[in-house]
Order: sequence, then structure tokens, then C-alpha cells
Amino acid sequence: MKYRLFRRQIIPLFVMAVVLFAFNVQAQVISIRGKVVGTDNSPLPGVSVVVKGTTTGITTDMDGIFTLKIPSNSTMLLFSFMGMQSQEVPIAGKTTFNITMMEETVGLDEVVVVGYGTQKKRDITGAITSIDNKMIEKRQAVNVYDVLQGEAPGVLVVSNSGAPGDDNTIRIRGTSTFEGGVNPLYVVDGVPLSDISSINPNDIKSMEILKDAASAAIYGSRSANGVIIITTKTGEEGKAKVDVRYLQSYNMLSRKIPQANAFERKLFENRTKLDLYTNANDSLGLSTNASNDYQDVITQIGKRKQLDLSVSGGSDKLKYFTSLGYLDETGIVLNSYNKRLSGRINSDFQATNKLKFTSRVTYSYQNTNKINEGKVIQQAMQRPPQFILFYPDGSYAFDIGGRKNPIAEAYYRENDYKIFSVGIYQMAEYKINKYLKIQADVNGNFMLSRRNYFNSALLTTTTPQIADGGDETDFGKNLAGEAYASYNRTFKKVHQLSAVAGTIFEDWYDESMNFKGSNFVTENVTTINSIQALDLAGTSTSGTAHSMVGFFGRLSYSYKGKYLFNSNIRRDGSSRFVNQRWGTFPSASIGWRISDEKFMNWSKKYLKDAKLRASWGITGNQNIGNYESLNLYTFGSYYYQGISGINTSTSFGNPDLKWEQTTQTNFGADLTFLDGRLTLNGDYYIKTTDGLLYNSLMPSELGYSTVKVNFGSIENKGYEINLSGTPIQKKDFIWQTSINFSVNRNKILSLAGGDYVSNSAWLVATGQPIGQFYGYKALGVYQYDESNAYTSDYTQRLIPYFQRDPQGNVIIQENGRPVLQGYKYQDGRDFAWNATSNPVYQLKVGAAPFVGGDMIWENVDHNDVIDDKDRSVLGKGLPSWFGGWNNNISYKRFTLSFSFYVNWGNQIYNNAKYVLTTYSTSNVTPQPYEIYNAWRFQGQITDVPNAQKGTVQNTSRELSSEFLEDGSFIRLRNLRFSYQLDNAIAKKLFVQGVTAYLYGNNLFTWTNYTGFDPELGGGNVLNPGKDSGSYPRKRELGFGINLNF
Amino acid sequence: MKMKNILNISMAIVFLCGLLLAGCEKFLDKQPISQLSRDLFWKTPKDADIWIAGMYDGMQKTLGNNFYIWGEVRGDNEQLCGTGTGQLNFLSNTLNSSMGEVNWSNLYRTISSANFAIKYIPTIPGVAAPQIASQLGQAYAMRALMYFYAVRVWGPVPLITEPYEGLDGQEKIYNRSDVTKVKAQILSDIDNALKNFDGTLPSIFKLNTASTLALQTDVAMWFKDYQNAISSSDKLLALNKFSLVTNQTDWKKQFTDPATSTEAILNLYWDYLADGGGNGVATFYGSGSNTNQYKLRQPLWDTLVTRATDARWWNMNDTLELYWLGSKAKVTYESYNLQANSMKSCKFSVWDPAKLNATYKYLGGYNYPNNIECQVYIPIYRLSDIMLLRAEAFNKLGRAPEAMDIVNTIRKRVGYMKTVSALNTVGVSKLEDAILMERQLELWGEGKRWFDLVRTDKVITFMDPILKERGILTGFGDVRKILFPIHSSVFEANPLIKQNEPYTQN
Repeated sequence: MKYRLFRRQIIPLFVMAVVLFAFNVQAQVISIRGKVVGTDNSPLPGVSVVVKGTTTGITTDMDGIFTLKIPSNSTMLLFSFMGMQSQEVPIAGKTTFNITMMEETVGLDEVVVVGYGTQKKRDITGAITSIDNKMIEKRQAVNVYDVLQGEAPGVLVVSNSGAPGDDNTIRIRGTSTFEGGVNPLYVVDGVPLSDISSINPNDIKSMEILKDAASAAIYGSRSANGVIIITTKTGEEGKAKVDVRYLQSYNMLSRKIPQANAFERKLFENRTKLDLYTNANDSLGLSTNASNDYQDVITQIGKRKQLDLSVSGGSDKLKYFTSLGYLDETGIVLNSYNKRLSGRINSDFQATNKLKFTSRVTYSYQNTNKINEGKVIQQAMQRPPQFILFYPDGSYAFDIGGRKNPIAEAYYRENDYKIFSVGIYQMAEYKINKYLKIQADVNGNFMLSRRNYFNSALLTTTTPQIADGGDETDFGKNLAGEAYASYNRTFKKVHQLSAVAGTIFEDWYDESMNFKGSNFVTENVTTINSIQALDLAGTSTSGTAHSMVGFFGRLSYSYKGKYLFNSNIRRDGSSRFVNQRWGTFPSASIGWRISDEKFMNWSKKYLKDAKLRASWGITGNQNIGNYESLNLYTFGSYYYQGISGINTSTSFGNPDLKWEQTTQTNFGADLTFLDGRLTLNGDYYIKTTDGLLYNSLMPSELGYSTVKVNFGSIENKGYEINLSGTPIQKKDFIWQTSINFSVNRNKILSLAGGDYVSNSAWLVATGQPIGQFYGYKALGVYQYDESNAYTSDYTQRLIPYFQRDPQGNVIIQENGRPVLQGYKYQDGRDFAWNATSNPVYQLKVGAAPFVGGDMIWENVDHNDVIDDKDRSVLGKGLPSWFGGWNNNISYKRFTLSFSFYVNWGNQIYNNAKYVLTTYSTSNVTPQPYEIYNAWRFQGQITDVPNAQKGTVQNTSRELSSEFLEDGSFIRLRNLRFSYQLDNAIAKKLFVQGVTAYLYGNNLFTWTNYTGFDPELGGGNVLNPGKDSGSYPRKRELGFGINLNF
Repeated sequence: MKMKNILNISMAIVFLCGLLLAGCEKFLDKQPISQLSRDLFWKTPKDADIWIAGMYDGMQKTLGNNFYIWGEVRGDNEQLCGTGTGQLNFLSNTLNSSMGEVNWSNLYRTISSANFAIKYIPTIPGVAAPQIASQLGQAYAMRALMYFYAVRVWGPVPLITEPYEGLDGQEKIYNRSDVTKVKAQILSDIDNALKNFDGTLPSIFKLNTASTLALQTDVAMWFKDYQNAISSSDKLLALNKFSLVTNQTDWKKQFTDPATSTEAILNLYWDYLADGGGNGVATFYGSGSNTNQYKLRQPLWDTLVTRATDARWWNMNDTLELYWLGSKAKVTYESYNLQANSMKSCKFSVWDPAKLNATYKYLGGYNYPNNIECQVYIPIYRLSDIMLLRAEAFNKLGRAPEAMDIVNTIRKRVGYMKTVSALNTVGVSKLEDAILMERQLELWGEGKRWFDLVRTDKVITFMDPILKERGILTGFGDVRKILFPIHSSVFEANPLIKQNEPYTQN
């Protein structure tokens, strides 16, 4: 034992001491030289050659040649070059070196990060997708979500809108829960986080998406929706490397929606009459003689500027990476912006051979102005185009006839967010022996968010006009500590065993302070000290806390890399549960490298590697309110006569709440063909969630409205395919491409409290998928009043026919009505009509029959009224499949990369258009097509019902199939063309490497959808695919330059 | 050696885990920070005060709009004024189970508050009974008031008298109880309230001896127990705290400043900033921000105009512009209808002598609050209300002179000197009509008329022709529609409850 200790610690120390000594006394110097070439034998310039453990080094010249003076006692040379595998070459007395460097292959020996450790990609038995920094670089991403879209099969990423700084919706393998908690868990450098929007994508080294239960279960309780592990960059041994990246882009509205002009608006105002337009308005009237193109007026060319700076490097003892990034975006809608400053310090310090410290410090500051979409964008779509925006003296026309001035709304309605966040992580790793090491870390994340909003009195229509505003502060912290031991050993060269066991403690605390008030002393001061009336109901503070404890373990075994076995177990406790606090989440997976079997030898020529995988596991979800298991007394909103009263919370606490459990089975295959030129990964999964955490109704007689229960079950099934390859690989020309494709089918197996229609448009029913649109099917428009005629059983609609003149025209009498002669069946047969003995039957809305110009609604139950029971499934809000096609083509120093994103088979509820055609609010302007084609006279053949006020039940119901549109689209998501400057030339400019590029994002979209954009995110889990007219997405064109020093 | 090593480490880990597990439960025990767990409450008499404030907040949420929806709009007091369509359901007697107005959740939440108070106030340690008697009394009286509204609106309702706390074996779904059972509970709650109150009347905004006696009178009248109505109102009068106002200025003050009025018995306090918005008074009758939804029906207007000297005419209706238009138009309902401010009722609005009418350029006008800023102290019980109920009871018991005396007093105080005499009101029924008419004029807008019609079995007589006039060919239709429907959400959570016929469950 003592001897071992000596050997293990004293000897290296001794060696190091000698090395240090050698430096100090300026030992003898010898000269070495050599040449570095690539696999194709071409010289490689710019390769860094360093004496290991020192800062002595040089880079190769244009011919790949280097000469270097090194201390004679140097032992090892380190060759490294971006995109190549680093090499360590023992000096062993040699003075010339001919080195061939291998390209870093997207290959089999790559290591991926899994929960609490790493694994060879080759030996993975779960469903994991990895994304590395090269892929990230191609995307010019503002945030992590931009990177993920279309890149990973099974991962649906949708940005909620085009507003700068807006959130994203992300679903891994479908929707498996009802309320909250549908986002995956993010683990950034070992720290579980729920929000990663403040992370600078340029700091990321790799991302791993753990999709199946077997991979994710080690994160237990929060892993039911998948886990995304993010690893940030660390320094590499050698001289300090400085990277500077700058990009600038110009953004514009990607698509305009048809909107009425002043003439069309006047046509619309005349909609109830057949004669010429007669307007009571003064033709010289001030406020109604404009013709605005509102989409032009409220949009601008947005600019994005981004500067990133990073310095990295280190010695064998200390490696560091530090970065600073600044982003400044102005949105395409007036007065919207987002600014972010983010920084990171990563350091890894090898204190002794056995002890290593790792520190991560991140900080960010973000400032965003979120404009009010309803008041700016939606008002711009509704406002009559002839209303002026400014009076002749230049002042705003704030409100005309209830329609807001969108420009004034953008500038006078302030909604400013400032978010500070800091994350600190400190880890110590101690190697007990060759096989066993212990790691322990503590980390803390702190977030301070400030929101100031102010609505100028000028925007209001009350007398007197009163400004209102508020100030909201949220502070959150979470602290965690974890410790785990990992054991890794190969027995007899064939049995590889590894094990991990550990524990984690996490603690969250959040508080918020909200102030709201009105009647500001002066609008020049919009802070809360300026209010004269405090709004008690909008003023409150609150604090909540919760905590979790987890114990976890993993056991992996591999026999010759041929038979693979992995098993995780986690036991978690959460403060959110009382009586059933603890949950256990086991998982297991197996892999079989079939290509290593003898009977597969025949395929060796084509099939380099083939592995079959199967996994099973249980993961959990606990994403509910912190105190839903407790019965609470609350206050703050129960005032009477100046006393703040107290009452029970409206939701009843359920002490028996427990973990929502998702059981997932996954089958997969990883195949590598043609010497790694082509790889195919496929997965099939079945995911069942039981004990859905769900708000159930309480009998209101008891004084409560809801209670959270574990009831109900959802199933998600699907498959994912990823195909990637290098179709062309020549000396100067390489084309890499990958295609991925995902399908998910979702079904509700059981429900608490029976089927229902959520938010009057989506069916939530047993046996049905989530997110199906449910409503009235529009079959057309009644041509005449008489067209509302049915047989007595309401199964067939009859076609009336009228008296015609010799030319065949229907004769319209003086009263505007044709003369009815009889009815025919749809197939042309005559209906034996008799007004008394064989009458026709009319469909009604309430008690009144439908008339000409009304929509023909499908009569599902074949009775005489169109009511709730005539609704049916009209479409689905979730896509049938989605996928991406990513390409990278390089010729010499030029690289072209582009990627397509496809989302197919869903419908979109164009609610923005719907609100324009209810005609229930004065001065809302429909789109030109509706204006020109709305039914106006008996006999008109059209697909647009009449545009009368107050006839919503007759003409435009919510939800009607009239407003459902095909939401499929193909998008050229990004395109980037880059040029890497010759290193030798770069060197003359005192730079190691220069890359310049042009790029475009969201350049083209092929779709039939008529709204701003078919990509829709946000909203309730159960209510996908509704377009309320949110902030439109932008088309981005930009350029940038990356410099390495 | 190696194995031993591993073993040692494993042992250490197991030991460590054991320690951790013991600490875990404590670590995972997170108590709420800005809310309160039940076992920390009910410790001091102040807790009772705070709880009771929460209970009154429930009353605000229950009655802020529904005082009118439940008690008046379905009657013959109003007609449509605004542009909305929601009002039509009430005016054309087509109620349905998805209307928010028929949701009883706020009412039962208030009852739940009272139930908690009744169970836990007596358990507050170290407090002598008199210290908490008033709070306990208010809880009983509140429960009685809420159940009284419930039986008037829905008939048989679930009778729940204990707080639901999820205790073992505690019933979670209740069936509806007979009206007689609910009535018995109301009466016993009133008795308990009166036992607890000490007879002092600290505020018109809280339940006390007087308001409970007013409630007792009202309950007795509803169940046609005239003798008890008289004895309850006798007790109320014997308190010697109330008297009818004597002039029109004071009459108006009952609505604009009830705390100083001698007639006010129980009003609902309101503060729009603290209560998160205004109550329904502005929305219904006179709003500064919108068109009001309802206006006085023409026959009432005509009656008031014919009476000419009845000050309630101009104190209830904004006749200011009518006067201004007087030179051009006759004082008719139609001319009133032409007013720019679309027939607002000024009953609850304050006169502002400095207000400028922009159109006609004169000073003085009523200040109508914006809907969200309406903080009228809605009257629940006033002396004139109780006096007129008393008159009804006298009439029913054959004591017509006493009844007529009350009606005449009520009239005279607002300037209408014509008396009801035996000559023109022969018989119980005629006099009853006269009393009801006086109630209608006196209590317009206070959530009383519909209940009056139901109580005196006059719904069909009065409403059938009016509904026909409104274009409903079948008139009032099914007499069972006098009760309101039960909200559809109730059936989702409680399968025992069945809808009031002939309404449908969803």
C-alpha cells in the first residue's frame, strides 16, 4: 500500500519537480524540425506544436513545416489543429518528425455526455442525439433553441413568435402531460436548470438530448419530458487562444397578410346595401381620409449585432475558457428590442494528480421591451385604413372609434424587462485509485427579474384620462449539492464494468413583489413613487419554496463491446408531495453489436458497424405548484372595509398527490455503412404516462373550485430516423448531409372527469389525440333564403328552383325576392313539394331559421337546430411528422451550409382572421377577399357568408372549419456561405485564422397558410395551433467574421 | 485488498445515505411562505376578525352583481338599453345552465367561510365567549342570508353546515335538501345569530342585530308567515335606531352616503381599488364608461311622471337634459329616450354642481363612475323595505289601516301626498297591489322586485303579458322557470345533483 502510494503520487511529483527545475536552470536546448500533413498527404499549415506541459511551441508554416528549439529533457510533443484529432508524440531523442493528422470523424470513438458521466457513442444503448459546436456555429443562433430546430429527430422546437427575446416551445417525443411541466429538463455542466434562454450558444461545446427513459431516468423525477445536457467549452492545453466573432444582420417582415385599403374599407361599409356607396362622412373630414398600409407602418428593418469574445488556453494544470458576448437586436415591429450581455468563466484546475477542481461562473443581463401584441399588431390588422394616424400638427390620433393607433401603442405602452442572472458551480473530483473516483459539487443559480410597465394616459379613453403602470420584481434562487462516486474497470480485457452512485439535494426559493397603480403625478416619472392611487388588488408580494432529494445509481456492463447492458435507478423525494413523497424510477437497456458476430462477416464490406438496442424505464414529473398537497389559508385578495381578510385557498390541497409516471419502451438500431460514410439511426418508442397531474373540479358547494389529482393516462408512440452521410469526399470537395424525420402519435387513454372541449376549440377525449380541433363544419353559404330546406329527417338538403325568364335568368321581383317553384334533391330528382302536405324543413339557430347568406353548418345530429351537439373533429393542431435536412458543402476554403425544416399535416386555427370576420365590434376591418365576396343578395354564389353585425351564430362560429387552414410548411431555415482565409495570409495579418461569412435565416417558406407564419408555438399544452396574430417572424440576412488569434 | 477497499467505500456510502435519509424528511418539509397553514390560525380573537372580513369579501363576490341579477332583472322593472346580447336571456326568460350568473360557487364559498367561522371561532384558546360573540353571530347571520338567497334562486339546494376539510369519512358530495329543511336551518341560524349579538349596531356594513331582524322579517314574508314578520319587524323598530327620512335630500343620501342615513340597515361595502374592480351598479344603470345595460321600463316612468311631485322621479332618473330639451320636446318617455346619455339612472350617483355638460354648456350634473370604478354601497336592507313588508303582512292579516298608513308615510316623505285609502283599494288584493307598486318605485334597482313577484305569486300575472310584448309568443311559459337553472359545472363535479326542470343540464 505504501509503495503504491509512493508510485502513484511521489513519482509524478518528482518528475514534475524535475521538469520545473529544468526550466529554472535553463537546461540544454535542442532543435527539432518536422512536417505535418493530412491524410491526403497535403501539407497542413497552422498546426500548433507544443511541448507538453510547457508554453513552448510554434505553428507550422504554409508547407506544414515547423522548427522549434526545445529543452533537451522534453518528453512529449502535442500536435493540435481545429477539426483534426490531436496527437501526442514522444520525443525520445528524435529531432525530425513526420506527422500525419487524422480528421476528427463524426465517429465511433466519439464520447457523449450522459447523466453523471460519459460514454462512448459507440456503446450507447439508449436514444440519444448529440449536437456539437460545429453544428451550432452554422446556425448563427441567438439562443439554444435556434440550434435545436430540425437538428434532432424527435425534438419539436417552435419559437413562440418573432418578438426579440421571446420564448420557445420544445417537446421531446410528443406531449405527455396536461398541465405545465412539458418542457425537458436542462442540465448545463451538471446543473439542472429549467430555463436556458440566457446561455450564449457560442459557449457550448456539445449538447446531448436524452430521449428515452433508459437514458433520462438517472435524472428521475423531472426527466419524463426528456433531458438536454449542455456542456460548455473548456480551455485546451497550449498558448492562449483568442476568438473574436462579430455578426450583423438586417431583418424584415417575412410575409405580408392581405389587408383592405381605404377603397375596400368603403365597400365594406356599404355591405348591407346593394346600391352605390353613400357615406355620411364629410369628404373633407380630417380623420377618415387616409389610406394606411399598417403592416408597413408598424414594421421596420430590424438589426441584430452580436459580438463574442473568448479567451481559452491553459497548461496541464490549469485550463481556462472565458467568454463575453453582447447581443443587440431590434425587432421588426417598432420599439421592440432585446439586448443581452453574457459572460462565462470556466476553469479546470488539477491541484494534484488525484484532486481536480472545476469551476463554472456565468452571468448575464438581458433587457427586453415586449410590445403589446394585441394593441399594436392586432389593432393594426383591424383598424380601418382610412383613419389617420397623425393630425396635421404631427400629434397622434390616439383612438378613433375604438380602434387604437398602433404606432402610438408601440411607443406609449412601455413593457420593459430587465433580467439578471448568475450561476456558480464548484466541483471537486478526487481519484481514489485508477478505477474509482469521487466527485462532489455545489452550485447556485440566482435570478433577478424586473418588469416596469407604463401605459400613458394618452392611450386611454376614460374621462379624465388616467395613466397606469406597475413594477414587478421576481427573485429566484436555487441551490444544489451533489456527490457521487464512479467506478470504471475492465476485467480480463473483455469485461468492461462501470458503476455510479450518488445523491443530490436541491432547494428552490422564489419571491415576487408586484406594485400596480394609476394616476401618475407626471408622465415624465414612471416609477411607482409617481402614482397617486395604489391598486391594492394588483399589489402583492409572495414567496414560495420547494426542495428535492435524489439518490441515483448506474451499472453498465459491456462484453467486448458486443453485448451491452445499462441500468439506472433513481429514488426521488419532493417537498411538493406529502403522503407519497418518494418515487422510484428504474430503467434498463441492452445493446447488441450484431456486426461483431461471426455470422455477420459477410456484410463487413458494406456494414462497418451495426448495433441493436432496446430499453425500458420509468421517469417522473412533479411540475405542479409548490403547495398543492397542503390546505392553505390565503389572503391579499379578500378585502372588506379596509381589512385584508383571509379565506381558504380556492384549490383544495390533496395530501395524496404523487409522482406522474411515464413508462417508456424504446427499440433502436445504429448502423454505419461504407467505412463511416453513411450512418443510419432509427428508434421506435411507446411512451405511456399514468397518474396525470391534473386539475379536477371540486363540488363548488364545498367552497373550493379545483383539486389537483393523479388521474388519467396518455400514450405517445412514434419513430425517428436520422440518416447522415458524406456523398462526396474528394480532396477539395466535401458534401456532408443529414436527414431526420420524426413521427409521433398521441392518444388519451383515460381522463379525470370525462371528455370535454377545451377553450371551445379543442377536444379532450378518451381514445383521441391531444390537440384536435373541434367545432362546426362549414359546408358553404345558403344562396337564397329558400336554400335552407331539408327533408323531414334533416338528412338531405334540397335545392330550390325559381321562376326564370326565357334567357334562363332567375326573375327577381320588386321586393328583391325570386318566385319559388319547387325543390330538387341534390342528385337532380324532383322533390314532391307541397307547402302543406309535404313541406320542407328548415334548420334553425335558436328559434330563427337560417337565411340566405348564412353559413351551411353540418347538422351532425340531424335535428332542427344547430347547437353544441353539431360539433365534430375538424383537424389537428399537432403535425403528423416533422423533419430536417441539413447540408454542408465545402470546396477548398469555401463552405456552403443550408438546412430545411419541414412540418407536415397539421391545421392552424387562424384566429387573427376570425376576429376580423365576426363583425361584432365596430370598425374592425376584414380582409379584402371577405369584403369582395361576402354574400349580399339573394342568389349570390359565394363561399363567404354575409358580413352583418351580430350574426356570429349564423356566419362565423368559434370554432368553424372556415378558419382552419393547412399548416404544413417547408422552410429554408438557414443558409450560410463562408470563406476561410489562407492561414499563411492570415498570419501576415497577425491572425491565426479568419473566417468570413454571409448568411440568411428563414429565407423561404413554402406553405398554403395565409397568416404571417405557419410556425406557431406557445399556448396551453392542450390548445396547440392557434394563431391569434402574434408578433410576426422575420427574414434575416447578415454577415459576420470570426477571428482566431 | 481491493475488494475490501470497495467494501469499505460501499459501507461508507451506505452509512452516509442512512444519515442523509434521516435528514431528508426534514429537508423536504417545506412550509408555505406567504400563505398560512391551517394549524397556525385560529389562535387569537384577531384571527376571527380577519376571517370574518374574508367572509364579507365572499358576500361582495356573491352579491356585487347578483343582488340585481337574482332579485330584479327578470321582473318588470327594466328594459334593454345597451347593445349587448347577454341581457336578452334575462329579459326574454331564456336562462340556461352555462350562464355565469347562475353559478353558485361564490355563494357556497361564502357559506364555507361561515362554516369555518362557526366551527373554529369557539375553539380560539383563552378567549371569553363575549369577546368572540359578535363574530360568531355574523357568521350565523351570513350563513342564513346566503341560504336565503339560495332557496329563492334555486329552490332546494345542498345544505352544508360544516367546513370541508377532507377529513376521514367526511362527505364530499351532497344532494339537494328540501326547502323546508333549508328554511329550518335559516331560522335556527338567525336565532343563533341573535343570541350572539349584544344588540349594539356598530356598522351598517356588517351584520348585526338590526340587519338580522330585517332578514328574519324578509324570511318570514317569503314563507308567508305574516305574524312572525310583524313580530320580527316589531323587534327591529323597538331598537329605536332607525327612522324614515323626511325629505328628498335625505332620501337620495341613502344611496350616495348610506352610513349617515337613518334608513340604512345593511349595505354592502365597496372599494374598487381593494376589491379589484367595481360592482355591477354602474354597468346596469348608469356608467361613465359604457352604455348602461338596462333602463327603467316605461310604465314605471309614466307612473312617476303622472305623480309629478314624487321626488323619486328626478332622484332616480337623470332628467337633466330632458329639462334642457324641455323647450323642444314634451316630457315623455320618448323624449327621455332621446337623451344623449341614454337614460341613465342617477339613483346611486352623486350630484356634482361643477360638472360641465359639454353639449348644452351648463354646469351641474351627475358623476357616473366607470364600470371598473363603481363603488356604490349596494343596499341590502333599508327601513322602508322592511316597513313595506310589514304593510304587506298587516294587509294579509286584515289590518288594512296600518298597512295604508305605512304606504302613505313612505309616499309623503318623497313629496307625493296622495294617500292610499280604503276607497280605492278595496280588498286584500288591491291593497297588496298598491303596496307592491310602492315597493317597486321605492326599491327600484335594489334587487327586490323579482323576489316580490315570486313571493306574492304574481310572476305569471305580471310577466306573461310583458314577455309577449317583448316578442316571446309563449309568454312566460313553463311556471317551473321561476326558479333559476343550476350551473352546468355543478353536475360535472357532483353527480347527485339534478337540474331544475325544465332546464337542461348543459
